[in-house]
Amino acid sequence: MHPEEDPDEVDQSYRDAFSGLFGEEPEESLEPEEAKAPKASKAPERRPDPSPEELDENAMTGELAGLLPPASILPPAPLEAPAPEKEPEFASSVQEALGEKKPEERFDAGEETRSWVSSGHKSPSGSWLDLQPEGEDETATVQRKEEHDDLGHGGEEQTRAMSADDVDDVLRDMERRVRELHGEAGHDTVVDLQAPPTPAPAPEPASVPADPGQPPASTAAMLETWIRKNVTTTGVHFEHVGAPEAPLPSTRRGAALEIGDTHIRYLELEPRPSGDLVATRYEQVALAESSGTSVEERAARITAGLAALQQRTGKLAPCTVHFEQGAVFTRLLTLPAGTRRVDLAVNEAIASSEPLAADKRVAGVVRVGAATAKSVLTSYGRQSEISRLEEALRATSTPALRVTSAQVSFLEIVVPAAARRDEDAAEAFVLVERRQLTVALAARGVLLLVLVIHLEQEPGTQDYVDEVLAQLKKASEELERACGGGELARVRHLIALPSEAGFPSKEVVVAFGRPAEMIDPELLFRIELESVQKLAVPTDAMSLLAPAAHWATQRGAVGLDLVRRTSRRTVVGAWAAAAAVLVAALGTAISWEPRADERRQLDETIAGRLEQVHALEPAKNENADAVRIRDARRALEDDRKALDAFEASAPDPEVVLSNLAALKLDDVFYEAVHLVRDGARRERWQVDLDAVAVGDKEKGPALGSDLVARAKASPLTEVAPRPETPKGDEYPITISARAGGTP
Amino acid sequence: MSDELKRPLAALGVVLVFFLIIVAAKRSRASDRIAQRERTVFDLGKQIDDLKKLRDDAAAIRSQTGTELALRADERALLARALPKAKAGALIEQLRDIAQRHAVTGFDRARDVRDAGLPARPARLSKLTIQVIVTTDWPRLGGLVSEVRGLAPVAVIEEVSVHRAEDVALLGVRLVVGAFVADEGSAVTQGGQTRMLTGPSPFFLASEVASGVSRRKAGTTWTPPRTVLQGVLLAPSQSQVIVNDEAVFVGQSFQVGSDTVKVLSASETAVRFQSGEHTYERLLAPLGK
Repeated sequence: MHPEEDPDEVDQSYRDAFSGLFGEEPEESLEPEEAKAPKASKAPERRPDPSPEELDENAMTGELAGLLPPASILPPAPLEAPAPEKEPEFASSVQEALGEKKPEERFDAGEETRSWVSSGHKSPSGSWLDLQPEGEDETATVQRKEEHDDLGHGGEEQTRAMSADDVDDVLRDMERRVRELHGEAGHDTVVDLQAPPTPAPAPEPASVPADPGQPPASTAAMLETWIRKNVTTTGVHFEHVGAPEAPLPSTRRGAALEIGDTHIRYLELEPRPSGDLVATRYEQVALAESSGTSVEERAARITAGLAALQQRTGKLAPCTVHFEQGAVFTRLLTLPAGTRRVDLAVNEAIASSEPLAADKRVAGVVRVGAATAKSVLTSYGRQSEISRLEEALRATSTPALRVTSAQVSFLEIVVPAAARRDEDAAEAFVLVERRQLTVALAARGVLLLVLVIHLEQEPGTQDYVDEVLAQLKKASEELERACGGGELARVRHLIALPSEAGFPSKEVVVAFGRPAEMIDPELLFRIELESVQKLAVPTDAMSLLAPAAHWATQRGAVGLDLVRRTSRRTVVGAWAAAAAVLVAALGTAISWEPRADERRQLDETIAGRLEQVHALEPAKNENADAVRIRDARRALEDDRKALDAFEASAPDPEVVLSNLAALKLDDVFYEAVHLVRDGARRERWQVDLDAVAVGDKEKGPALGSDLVARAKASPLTEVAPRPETPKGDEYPITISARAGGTP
Repeated sequence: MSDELKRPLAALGVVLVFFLIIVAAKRSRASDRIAQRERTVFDLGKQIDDLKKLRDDAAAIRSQTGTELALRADERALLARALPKAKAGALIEQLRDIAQRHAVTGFDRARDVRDAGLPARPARLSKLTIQVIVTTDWPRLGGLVSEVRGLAPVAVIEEVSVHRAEDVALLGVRLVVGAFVADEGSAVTQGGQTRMLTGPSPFFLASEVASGVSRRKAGTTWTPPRTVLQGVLLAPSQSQVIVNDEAVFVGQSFQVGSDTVKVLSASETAVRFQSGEHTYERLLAPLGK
């Protein structure tokens, strides 16, 4: 979440003053009918087909405003810029009613970061600021003179610092006119303090990063009127709103990587325990000449240059990348502190027909009197170029912390660091580069206005010096006007030119008419001068790279970044999603029970079956008892059978013996008789009779045979004789038989 | 993807993986639990079927075998038919008495009548085997067998072996008597009648009996066995002998054990009597002595 979105007490008067920005309709009762009529009648005339001169002027407007890249990098095919559908709503009906300006006269009221070329072009801003005394169009001159008259400035007093009496005069005059306008109705004077409407934009011949025809978010004139409205009798007093951010300590190696048109420069700083920084490495790699200037060709050169740099230096430190000048643009919007339409205002300010890589941040909040404003610093560039650069950085594994420009680093880092926060008066900051001049107005360290001026002359020449000084003089006038006519406390300047260029920095004092102080990067960022001298870092490299390298040494430092990094909200959302998933995972791990119903049913089934099992459990013992009883019964039956068989009546052995005795023949005697109970039921005898027949070999066997025959004729059964070997006159014979039982 | 987003996305990925792992693990665990419960249900069903089958089997067995009380009653009834273990010794002594009465010579009570002992493993019903070895003659063999058989059904003759002796005209008899004994037995033995075998012994030839010589022991005369007349105290006259305080006249017979002894003649100093096939003479001491 951006800090500008935090709820804040909105100064109603200031909100009213910027009511046009919020789409509020001006109060009808305050606008005379005669003022409405010409406005309504002339509204269609604001969108005629642009004349060649207007086209030229409007085309120049985009470029002058710093919204256009150099013509060399613009695509050849012209794209039609979107024209505004309606007239800007913040056109001051009061001013029109008072005849202070013509309704059709429009100027770039929303452009507070403006740039212009110094020659050959007419600035659209000249309608309210005389930037080109000679050759300016008549409408612009009239508007400038009227405004200057309104504000109490004569033409010769344009660069004069506004005194407290002047402010009082201006305020009294404004109050008088407002009372006349409103009559007896007690009404706020916000309407007449609104900025005049912007001129009708003309279609752009080519796609531009930011369309100057869009309604601007705030203007230097609005800033001026705002300051003038809230000025006090003792002068302009700025107050910083909110606690100033504590400076972050340098805790790591950091570097700045400047990717220019012809070279790549790398400055690396390393913090000491004392907090001082040491320049540990400075490298410069020339980029190869390219046959063309397409994005792809430049990206290839940049990739090769970065690879060469890494080959030379090894692993690079986390660095701030400064993209080449002309590829990154900067705007500063001053908005009511309580507005939530920052995104809308920024989008309107940098609207373009081609995709842009942009970033914004609130540079600070400042109060003048009862009004509070916040300045939103915006940086943008072509998405295609930034993407190519990002690919080059990724391809070379360059540890880029952010992609921005030296101008942004100056505004973001140098100005807050060098500003005097303990003074009421505003300060001017100047950055002189090879091709552009950046002039910023800051109060209490908060940027209020930024002017970016492209230079055409070559550095190192007198023409260049003259051009810079002339532009500075004009810029000083505009700053003082924007500052409500108050004097600037001082001007601090940073010269980022090669030493051989030899820019006379003392001339800045003359140009501004105020005390001038040169910003020393080594002193400002506590960089050891010996290390800089040892590395022979050029002066302009220190001016441009030291702030960015210093920023890179700070962990958690905030700055504009053109690489489409994930917003904090997205990161927080991702963390929140991860946390939510984690919570869901934990919740799932704890409470989620898949197939719980099925398992519950099975549990119920198991419980029912367990009850059945428990109910049937005695069956085991019953069965065991039954089996045991059955076995015991079987054993008992076996015993019974055995006992029955034992007790069964077999034939009387005495009778058997008597029967055997009856079988005996003369000359036959029994050697032995053996009776054994036999049979399954023990009801018979197994009889073995060893008999011996005495006689010769004829009589003996015959006696044996007779004995066998008698035995077979007896009740004996299964008679089986077995003659034995005779011994002398004895012929033994064994007869086996059974007595009793069933045959 | 920006670096700021890498960490939360990595965390998100890790958490997602963790979440998916948890989901998969819980689903797998749930499946395992379901499978385990299904197995339990199946096992319980099988167990229930088995128990029902056991219950049915028990009922069927019980219907066939009766109750335990009936079993015990039958068991008691069966065991009542067996000899009490405590009376096994008495049975052996009874057999010894029988054997001694029918032994003609050389009978040793302890040696010739003995049992094989009860099985070491205690049983409800045990069979006791008793061997009886007696030397006797053919008539006494009948008495021995008939008396032992009179012990049935408590004691039953299992085996009878009769061998012819060569030195004397006697028979070696071996009886194997079996008896079931039980702790709870209550059977009692009853005495049997003594029935002597009649007729000549089939184990000898008539010529051997007449000559008193075994045909396998040529030149060796059979030694007649001696009959011990216990209880003959005196012969108060030539026609009367006092035996066991009873007067027995010449020509009369009296019973000495299993032997029937006939008084052939009597004098004051000697009595001649016949026991079986043999004639004996016993010198008597004077009455006054």
